[in-house]
Amino acid sequence: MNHNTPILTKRIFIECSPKTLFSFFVDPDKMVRWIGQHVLLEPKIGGKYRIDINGENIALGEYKEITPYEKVVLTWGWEGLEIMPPGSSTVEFVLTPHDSGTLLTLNHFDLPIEKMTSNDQGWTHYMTRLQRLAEGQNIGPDPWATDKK
Amino acid sequence: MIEKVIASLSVPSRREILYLLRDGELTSTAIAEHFEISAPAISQHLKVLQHSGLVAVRKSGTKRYYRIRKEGFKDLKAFIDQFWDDSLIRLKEAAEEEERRNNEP
Repeated sequence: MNHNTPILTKRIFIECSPKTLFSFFVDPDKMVRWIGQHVLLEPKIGGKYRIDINGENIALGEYKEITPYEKVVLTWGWEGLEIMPPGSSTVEFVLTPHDSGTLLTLNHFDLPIEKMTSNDQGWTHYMTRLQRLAEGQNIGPDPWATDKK
Repeated sequence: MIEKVIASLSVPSRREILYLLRDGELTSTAIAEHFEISAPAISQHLKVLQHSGLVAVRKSGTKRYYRIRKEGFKDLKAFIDQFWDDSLIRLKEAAEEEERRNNEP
């Protein structure tokens, strides 16, 4: 589904079953125990979520994939942050049974920051979009947020 | 830190300043020529951009040259990196507690 190389990968071993861990991605009462202050979830494909991290930073996006006990994929972005708006990046959580627990792998794909800082072309791309935004134009979804390298 | 970046970018004039600086450094006078707003207002915007790490300044004689500070955007990546580290530690604690609770007789 996503063939890009993740720009950020985290792995953590958790001493619980994949089933227990999975519930922390689809149950708002459980999700709020590890992320944000207020969590609204619509855990179905295309369903939206809103995670109020600290009253100021709000993560917004939608569920792209939900495979019970195995995998959850979300689009990820920040409300009001033009350089990383909702839908601009993708976060994948992969749950793998391991010994008596679960190995959780997090991959964050398509971070626009990487493109902006990695080359001048990326910089110009985002600054052009910023300018058009500043001029009040509707710039639509970022074509770079979904392209495949 | 992300709050500062968001606040910096939330004002159209500041985004335009960044856009002007994309090709290289400029003095505040040169920047101000592109705007209808006053020079002190431009200085204030430059101060905010500097404070959030998105713009850097270099003094030469009496002039101050402003330029994009790309590292400022790398800080945002560092913020996201830290954000996931902190969140995953909390997830581990919460999920392991949940598992223990489920396994209680």
